[in-house]
Amino acid sequence: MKRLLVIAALLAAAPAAQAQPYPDYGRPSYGGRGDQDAARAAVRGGRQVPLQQVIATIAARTPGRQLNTTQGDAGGRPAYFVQWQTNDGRVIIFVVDAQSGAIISRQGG
Amino acid sequence: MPALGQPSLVRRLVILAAGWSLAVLLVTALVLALLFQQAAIRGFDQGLLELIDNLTAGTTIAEEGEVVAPALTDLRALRAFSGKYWQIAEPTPDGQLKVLVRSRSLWDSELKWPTDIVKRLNAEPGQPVSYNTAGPQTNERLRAMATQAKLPGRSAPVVFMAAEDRSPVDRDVRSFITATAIAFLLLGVGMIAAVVIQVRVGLNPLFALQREIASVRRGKAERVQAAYPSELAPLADELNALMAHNQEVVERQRTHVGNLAHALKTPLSVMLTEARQTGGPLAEVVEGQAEAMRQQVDHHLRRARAAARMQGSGERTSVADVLDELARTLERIFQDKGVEIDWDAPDDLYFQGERQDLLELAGNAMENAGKWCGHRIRVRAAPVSADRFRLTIEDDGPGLTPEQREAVVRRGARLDETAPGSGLGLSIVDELSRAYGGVLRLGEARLGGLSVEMDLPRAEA
Repeated sequence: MKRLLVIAALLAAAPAAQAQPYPDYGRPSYGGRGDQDAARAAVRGGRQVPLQQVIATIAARTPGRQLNTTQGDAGGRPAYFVQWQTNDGRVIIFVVDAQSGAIISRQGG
Repeated sequence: MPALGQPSLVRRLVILAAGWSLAVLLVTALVLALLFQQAAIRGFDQGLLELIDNLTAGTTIAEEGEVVAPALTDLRALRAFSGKYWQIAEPTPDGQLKVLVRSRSLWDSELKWPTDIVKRLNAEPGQPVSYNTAGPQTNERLRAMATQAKLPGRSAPVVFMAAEDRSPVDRDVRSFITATAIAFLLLGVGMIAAVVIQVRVGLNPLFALQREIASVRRGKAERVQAAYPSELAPLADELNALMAHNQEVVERQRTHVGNLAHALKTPLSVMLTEARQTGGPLAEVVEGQAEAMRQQVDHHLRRARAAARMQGSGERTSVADVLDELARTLERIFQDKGVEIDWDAPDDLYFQGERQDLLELAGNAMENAGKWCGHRIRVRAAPVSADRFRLTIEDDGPGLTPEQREAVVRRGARLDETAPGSGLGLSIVDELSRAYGGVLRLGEARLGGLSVEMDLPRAEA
């Protein structure tokens, strides 16, 4: 449970004023200040692997489809939090190192 | 067109072609409608899946495993009874569902589910289950979709459900089916019309052949001559061969009859002459019997000839020509009596039979009239129907009493009583006209004498 809360904190999309257990996916980020702009800049600058590659990596290990992805920090390093749904309906959150594209940890399943 | 109930080539072909086309059209229309409906439903389901994915991605698990729904921004699911609904539930041990979170649009109601939903969800994990159900509003028909997911941080599975009013899709499907039905109905009608025309046109040679055979039978043509398609040509050839054969048979019969006549006539003449010269009771008997034989022979030969001609391919003879010729001949014959013959016949009136027979029929009657008349004879030929005409010969002579008329005609049937030269002409006429299916009627002429009427077969002009 403690670990979940940590991850939930990490999943926070933006440095929100009040700490949310989960990022608020439903709210669109206006004015291009969302995490997708940071991600794009980082990918173009070569500091991160593209999301497509990350998804391919996960799909090779666990068949399923991506539901959503957020960007944050994992242990001080930029990381992707990929929400993944397996073909039999289980939802798993993969934490992936953004620089190397390696899967660091997984939640659920 | 043949009568109903009679087998008809046209009908058979039309029914076959039309039946086949209609079956194909019907199946095509059904398949199209089915495909359209499937496509429409698939599109509809795509929307429901989208909503479910959003729910799945956005749902979070708070502490204590409480399910927290995302603040979905789909405005349609916010308005009460908007027609778009979602719901998050969890399976209960008894195989039913317990609703955890509902969209605002559901207001005070819940999305219903089929009783076996948990079983169906567990049968294929991860696969969505679709079903139809009633909506919260009156008469609202929903198509719903449910998927079961396991979320991180919660041991029990969660069921996400989404539903939407399906009436727009149903409306689309209905209007598509209506449009398709109308289009295919028009197509079908057009096809049947095309088939009918095709068959009629295709079978035209057959009708043409029938018309040509009819004209041959009516004596307007000798042979079937038109160029027929390869399927009918053999038939036409066979018909021609058959007609040629028939004619040959008739000719042979006629030759045979002629030969027989000649063969018998000479010995009979010899017998008659000898008997007349000899005298005596035996000679009288021989003479009487020989005369009777000769008349019998003549009578039967005429009948045979006429009957043979009736069956042959019809010849036709212009009535006016024959009457003209007879009138001129007879006026010469009865010159010293000063007989005037008025005759009247339409130019386009034809006797269906041989010239020889008409000459004999009209000639005998007119000659008879010539014998008995004062000096006037009237001959009239007029059509009475499409295939009969009436020939009337009147004179201004003494005429006959009804008993005599009776006797004259009866004598035709009992030739042995007939003395030569006394009205024999009329019995010949009676016989011949009978052979031609006609009737001889004797009556009083308006000129005062005898009127002879006969109905004879008429050929088309």
